[in-house]
Amino acid sequence: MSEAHHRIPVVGIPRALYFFYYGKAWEKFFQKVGFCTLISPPTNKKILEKGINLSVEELCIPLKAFYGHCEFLKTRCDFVFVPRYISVTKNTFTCPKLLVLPDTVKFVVPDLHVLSLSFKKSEVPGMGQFFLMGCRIMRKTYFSNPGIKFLNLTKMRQLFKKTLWEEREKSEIKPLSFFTNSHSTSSIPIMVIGHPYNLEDSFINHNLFNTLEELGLKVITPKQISAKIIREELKNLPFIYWSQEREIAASAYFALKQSFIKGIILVSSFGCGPDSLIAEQIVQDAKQYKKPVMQLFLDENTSQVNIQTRIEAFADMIRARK
Amino acid sequence: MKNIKPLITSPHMGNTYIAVKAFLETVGCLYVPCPPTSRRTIELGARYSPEFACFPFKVTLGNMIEALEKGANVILMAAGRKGLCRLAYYHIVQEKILKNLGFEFEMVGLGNNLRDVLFRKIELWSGKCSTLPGLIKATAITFRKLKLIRKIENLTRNLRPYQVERGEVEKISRKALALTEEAKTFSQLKTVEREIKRLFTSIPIMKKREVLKVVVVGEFFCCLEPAVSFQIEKILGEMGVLVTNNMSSYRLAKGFLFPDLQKWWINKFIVKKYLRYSGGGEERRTLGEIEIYARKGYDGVCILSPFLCLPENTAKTILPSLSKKFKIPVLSFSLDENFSEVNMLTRVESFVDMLRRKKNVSGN
Repeated sequence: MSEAHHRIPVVGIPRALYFFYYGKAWEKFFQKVGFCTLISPPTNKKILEKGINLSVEELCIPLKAFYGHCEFLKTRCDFVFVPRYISVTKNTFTCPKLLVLPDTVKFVVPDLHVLSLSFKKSEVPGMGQFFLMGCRIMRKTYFSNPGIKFLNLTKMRQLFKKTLWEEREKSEIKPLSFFTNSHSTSSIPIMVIGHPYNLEDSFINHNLFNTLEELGLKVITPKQISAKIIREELKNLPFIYWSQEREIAASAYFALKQSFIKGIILVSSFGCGPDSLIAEQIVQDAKQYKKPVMQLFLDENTSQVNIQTRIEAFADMIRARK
Repeated sequence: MKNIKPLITSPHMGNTYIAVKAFLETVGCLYVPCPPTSRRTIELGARYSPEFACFPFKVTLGNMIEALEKGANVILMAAGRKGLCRLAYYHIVQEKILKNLGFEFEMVGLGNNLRDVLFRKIELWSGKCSTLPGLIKATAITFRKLKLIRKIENLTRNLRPYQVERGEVEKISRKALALTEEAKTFSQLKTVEREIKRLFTSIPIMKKREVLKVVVVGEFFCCLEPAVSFQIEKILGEMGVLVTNNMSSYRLAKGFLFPDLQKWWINKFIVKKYLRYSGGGEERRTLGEIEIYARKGYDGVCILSPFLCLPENTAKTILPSLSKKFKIPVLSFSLDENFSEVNMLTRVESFVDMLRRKKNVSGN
């Protein structure tokens, strides 16, 4: 007991799913409270294989990778942080598979000490959530320092909010005008749309961005499109009730209307529920705007060559249209 | 389009069309049921729908295409009240696909706009002023019919393993459903109810047969529509298995208007230890009913879910530990357009054999 008393508890953060949205803010938050943090390494073959063995075969690949990351962290840290994002904005929900993660992960990876925060209608959790989290930490660490800090609920909530905003301001994103102003003839701007956990995990998408750049295509992602444009695009669409899907649909329709974007690649993982319908809607509407759209599906059987071939064909097609 | 009398249709879900027809015809609209779901329906739906859309999307799209070919021009699609699962977004994408195919029609998603549909749209369709008493009467008849349908389905399930001659119960059940469809007023429905009771008691049965008990759970469309699961309930029943299926269109319709107490009870007291928050579909009912029926001493569970169903995947993740805890065997089917009857038959036969050996039941 005495050993546990003095050691600083380690919080593990799996580098999967919502990590690509809010990961840096979580890390900073836990460090400020006084924990050690351990972020699992970028997805590699070993982690993914572990995840595939653990989970149901019908699940999408980022979720399988997530279970692999949890399994990796299980022996290396005291807690694993698995947040539950129910809704980020009003009247919307996140993917139904990701909403139940803190519950299912206990069954998939047994004996995992899960720390969880529920986010409802906002990107900052309620105070009750911090209380529950504090209790859980104290029970495990025998009332050591960082757990007690959690009882100061208002302060914790403010700290979380502050960290979130700080991280958001820090992140450097090239503004869209960067693309519209440069009139280089060699590189063609195209839009790659998908969830951040598919786009930014280079093991899952087999270095998609490198492949695109080698072919002389300039990539725009939904992150570069400002919130104002997204809000205006959403007004013309039927109400979409998946939080992450709103960004995807809005940026896709924005890209369809802009003439300087020459093509759209929709990246989704096999079996992604919301994507299957939203992507179909985009593909159906793309016929009106006469813009090439390619759907790219990722699963554990997708290979580098597979993606390379399809992208090369797509790039040739765009060049031919010019 | 204005001059044509609106001809309303709605995709199939088991025998629910009888009740929808009753409601619309009592209010004064014209209703044409879709042709029964066949191989062609499923192929049509699968051809025009996105690859990873779930199976109900494809089947209902196929139904819609066939109904539009028959001349319908208004489609009623149940869309659910609020979204999480893909169901509430079905009608938007389906409308887009069908419009791009060149059909002219109006799509109405029944969900939050219930009031608008009842008081404005129905007036437009029927050409008559829709009054509150008229609507209440129509709703009452609809619910009565839904209740009758549930009764017929339950009687069929309970009698099937005991029947002396194969197919006898099926024949009677079809007859009873036809009678229910024909009845128009309350007094007629009352006589029909008596007639149904008489019909089902007239079936010769052998009470002594030892039967196994299996509960069918899963996504509601797959549980209710026998065409997509190749009539798994019938096959199980004829093998000597007493099938229980707690899902019915009556329950769904009632849950649409009033809070569903049974669901609330399951969510609050049984599934809370597995799942704290809903995954958007029927996964809590699946898990809860498995626990309830396992405690009641049932022999097995059969789960029907569409391939890539989001909420059912959550249930499937938790299932193995539940199955181990209650020592109840689980047979789960992922239904899609490539699912074959022979595949299902083989698996069901071996499952039933396993259950028989486990329980030492001869089966005859």
